[in-house]
Amino acid sequence: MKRHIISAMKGLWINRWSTLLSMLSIGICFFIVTGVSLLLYNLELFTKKLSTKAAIVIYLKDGISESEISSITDQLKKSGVFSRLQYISKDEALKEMKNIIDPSMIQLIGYNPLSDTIEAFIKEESLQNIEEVIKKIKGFGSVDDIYYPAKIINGLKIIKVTLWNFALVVFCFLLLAVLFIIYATVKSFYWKKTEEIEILKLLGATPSYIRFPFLIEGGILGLGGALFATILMTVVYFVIHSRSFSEFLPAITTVAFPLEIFCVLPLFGIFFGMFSSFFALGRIKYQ
Amino acid sequence: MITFSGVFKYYSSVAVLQDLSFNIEKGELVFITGPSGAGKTTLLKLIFGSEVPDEGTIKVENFDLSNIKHSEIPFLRRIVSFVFQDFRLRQDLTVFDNIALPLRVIGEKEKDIRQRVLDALKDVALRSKADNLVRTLSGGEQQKVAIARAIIINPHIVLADEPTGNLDPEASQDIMALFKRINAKGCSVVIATHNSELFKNTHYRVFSLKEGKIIQ
Repeated sequence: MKRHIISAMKGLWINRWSTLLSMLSIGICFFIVTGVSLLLYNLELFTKKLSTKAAIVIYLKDGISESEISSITDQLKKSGVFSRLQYISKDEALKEMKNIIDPSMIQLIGYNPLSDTIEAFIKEESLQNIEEVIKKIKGFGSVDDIYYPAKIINGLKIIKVTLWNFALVVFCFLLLAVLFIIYATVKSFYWKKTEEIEILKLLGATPSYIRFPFLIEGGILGLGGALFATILMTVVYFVIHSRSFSEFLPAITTVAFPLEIFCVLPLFGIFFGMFSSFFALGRIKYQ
Repeated sequence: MITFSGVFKYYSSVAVLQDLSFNIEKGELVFITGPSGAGKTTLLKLIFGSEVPDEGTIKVENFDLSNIKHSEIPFLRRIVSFVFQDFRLRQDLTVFDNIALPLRVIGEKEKDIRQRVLDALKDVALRSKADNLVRTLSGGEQQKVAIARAIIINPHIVLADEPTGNLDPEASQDIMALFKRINAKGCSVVIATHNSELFKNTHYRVFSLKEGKIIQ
């Protein structure tokens, strides 16, 4: 193992400029992939948060009795779709309204125009069936109307799906680019060592013995690229969280930045580099 | 040890070897001779697993070379060594590292390698040149390094293709003496040469090839 590592390091050092160039190219590809992944991750979080925070507001008919209210509440609870239900009487709603609007305006109307409502918070796993749930609730006799910010959530879902499709294309393209860069680099290293490899074959070297230094070289290329991308991501992280930037754009500091990236990315780089090298070397022939 | 039965080898429908059948026993030294293009090198390549016969069977110890898998060839080459006319040494390495290469390939420990390489260098009288780069050596010395590299793993068979082809008569005598010493230790040696001086007045078997057939 030590011999293979030394051989790989020597190989990379001899070809240091092409090694560096490959690492930078791989790094830029990994940086874009990570950036798009982070964007998707944040969008996913944002959609979930918004969906669960936005409650269905069920407006009840005027003059509804307490037993009818508790019957509706029971039915909603039994459906298992909601994480929390909150009943707000029309008097409580008016009190809240007085905090927002000038009370004299309400006095001008002369009566309480608001309805009794139930705010129902949807469980995350039930979000997909929301349309069906709303339809069902509308069927309850005592329900006057239902409000749900469907347009916003559906719009977000469309953006999410579009971004996912875009991201998949970007991922495929960039990962193929990385594969090709490592493939071409390792293949060129292999060609430069053709004579050496031919001698090794004559001396009884197994295919794995011949391949191993190149797999290590590929792994190091992938790791180097991933580390470069990680450094760029760290810079982005500190820029986002810098004082001047957060003062300029306060919302940006809420961007989630999973620190796992810093472990996953180098590991992925090593694995992907070795895989690409294996692919580049193909079958070692003796005849 | 080496058995050829009805072996044919063609290169683009031209028969290079035709109906070869013979045995080489353990510990034998055999010369293969003949003019250029007679098929001497092809015969050695067949024993080394670099070529496969188109017809017939070749057996080298337990290896059936007519049906050998790629994955088995490295292990064949750990019992069969080859000495080339052009040496096939790593010019960028020292004498020591060249000879150590086969041992590193089979995963020997560095401390064992050192002693074995020094012993091999002593056998070929090149101990003082251990740290020299191979490219600074003469042709005869490089051939000795190639032989030392071939015998370092204690092979059962050593094949040599025109081992004295690039050497002066004195160096040729040295190399032949070396092969005889290797053979005396029980290793089979097969030497392909067109230089009849090497086997003149010796008791060793000589296969004469002409147009791919053994004529004598």
